[in-house]
Amino acid sequence: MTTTTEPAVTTSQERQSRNPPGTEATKAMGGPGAQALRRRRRADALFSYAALTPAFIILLGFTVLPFLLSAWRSVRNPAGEFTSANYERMLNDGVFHQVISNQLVYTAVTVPATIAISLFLAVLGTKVVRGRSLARVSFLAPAVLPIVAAGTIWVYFYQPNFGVLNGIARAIGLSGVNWLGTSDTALGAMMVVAVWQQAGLFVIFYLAALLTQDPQLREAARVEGTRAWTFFRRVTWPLLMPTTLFIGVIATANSFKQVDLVFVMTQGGPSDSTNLMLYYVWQTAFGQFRQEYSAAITVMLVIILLLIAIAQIRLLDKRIHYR
Amino acid sequence: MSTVQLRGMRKSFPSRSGEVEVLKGIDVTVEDGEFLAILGPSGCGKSTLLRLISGLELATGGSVSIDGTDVTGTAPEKRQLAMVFQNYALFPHLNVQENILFGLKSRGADKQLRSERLTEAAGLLGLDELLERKPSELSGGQRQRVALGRALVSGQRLVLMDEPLSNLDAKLRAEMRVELKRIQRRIGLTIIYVTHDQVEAMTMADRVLMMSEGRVEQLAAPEEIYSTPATTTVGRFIGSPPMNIVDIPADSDLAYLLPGEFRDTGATLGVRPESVELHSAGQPVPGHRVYLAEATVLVNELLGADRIISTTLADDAAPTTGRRITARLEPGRKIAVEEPVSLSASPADLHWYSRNDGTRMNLAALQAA
Repeated sequence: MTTTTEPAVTTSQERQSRNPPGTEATKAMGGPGAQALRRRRRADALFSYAALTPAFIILLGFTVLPFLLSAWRSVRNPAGEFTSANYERMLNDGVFHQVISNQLVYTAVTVPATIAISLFLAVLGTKVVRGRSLARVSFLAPAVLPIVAAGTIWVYFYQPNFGVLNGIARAIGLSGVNWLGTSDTALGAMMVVAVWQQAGLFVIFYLAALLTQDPQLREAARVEGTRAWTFFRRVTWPLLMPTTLFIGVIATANSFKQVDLVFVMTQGGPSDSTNLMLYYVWQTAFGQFRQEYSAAITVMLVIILLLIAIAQIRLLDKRIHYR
Repeated sequence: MSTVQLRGMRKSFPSRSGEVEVLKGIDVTVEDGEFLAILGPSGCGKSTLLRLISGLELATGGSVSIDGTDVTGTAPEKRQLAMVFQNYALFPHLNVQENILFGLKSRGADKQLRSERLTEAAGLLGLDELLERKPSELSGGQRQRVALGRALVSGQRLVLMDEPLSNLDAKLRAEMRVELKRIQRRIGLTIIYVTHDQVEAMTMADRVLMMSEGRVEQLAAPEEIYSTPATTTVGRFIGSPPMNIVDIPADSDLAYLLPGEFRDTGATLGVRPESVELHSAGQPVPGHRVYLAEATVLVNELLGADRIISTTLADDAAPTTGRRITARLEPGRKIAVEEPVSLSASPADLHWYSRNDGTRMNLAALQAA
């Protein structure tokens, strides 16, 4: 009994080891192999720049350039001389002060409220078993509605005589409130609409993040006797931080971009109680034709946004665990 | 004290085509300080059984008792047990120390107890230098030890493990097997260990619960499960290469092998590869061995310490043609592929099983021989 296959195997191995791989030798000498590698790297870099160019042009042409033009315009008077008059005017403009304070209240309330409500709905959404897709579509419904339409619908809800809210109030024996017609309630009423309108979209982000979390983490914690709330606070919430930062930045940007609801619901009134920054920019530029002043306010708006963005990222980045 | 008693455990899951029964009545008692391995192919219900014991899943029927208390409907946190998961289930944003102490902290254990337990567990598992690291900065084996540490600091005497070593490479797995057994002995833990790896079950367990399709195939010590498999399923699953199983109907050409009792009914023959011997074709078989059949060598594999020969039964053996018989021989044997051989085995090494349900049939006559 003899084996016949094994010698064949050894000879093929020997043949391989006798020929040293050619590539290593050429690499060491900087030969044609290295040249091809350099060419390849250059081609890769060129392609990367080419792919970036369209986005770069749009960013430059529609964001950076207009901002620089606005900044230029805000420091020149109609005669073409440099002046700081537009910025000095801000200091004494009572409406502008009102607008800034409205804006800060609006941002400080809508951003956390949006985060809290969308997270709450998302957590509920993960627990839904029956009619799961119906629930998700209904979360998203307000977000696909045009803001103008949403605003108009809510104007009817808030309407003092035949609006739904006052209808309910009267039915249970309370006197109604002129929600949008009173300085004390108008901004609050508008914030409710804004949160309702944008929370739905963020529910989807939170839902996606929650569904990617490993369910075994909860099981491991359950076996160890961790209560649901403790688990949420110590595991779920920290792991959602990247999503929360994202939502926080978008919601903040949305709050500064808010003009649609102001247009449809209040036009900034009553007595500027719902006047927000972007609406005031529009008012000064196209309502009062004070375009240099409007440009100065725009510059202020950008500076405030930059500060907030830097603060948000600085503050949260350290506490975020990215996978 | 940590004993576990399972009585008639059943579990079915709803599916589109009605209920699917995953566990069909499991009875087992796990003694205090015992290492029980639940072994079976994937989908046999072994993980489900573990989840029923942990309380993460509730049984459809039957009862679970831990330390004599019925816990069938009790929530997992009240069952006095710890669990190690297959993918470790470490919290990615917490470092090793926080991960290990997570359970104690959330149950409000005081600081001194926490640091005592941490020092103890970290020392035992060699985690002292890794306490500040995040799970993403650990290797697979280190993560595994952190998961184990989390189970140890809980102070529970009953630990459930769901394939804890399956994500490690072969060398590390061998090391962790030794480690795990050492820790279990040292602390006197009761461990219920789910695995599909027979080596883990055979090397670590005091007893092995072999499962297949939701039923217990055999519950016995590793030696017994190897030497006397209770069913053909166990024989096929345990051993590498597994037991040769040949179905022999009463009218087949191999019927001459059947002991007297089975001459009319036929039987299934099981024989371990190491019990099979090869002889040159046509040569007489030594007197103390039983001649099995003529065969042709198909594959010859050298595995270092062993040589595995696969043969197929010879052509003229009509109904059993093509049956494979593997033999484990010493590595020095020279055997050519395609060579005709005859197979033999010692009579004591022949295992007989019912042709109907594959259960073992013990013969008085065979045991005497």
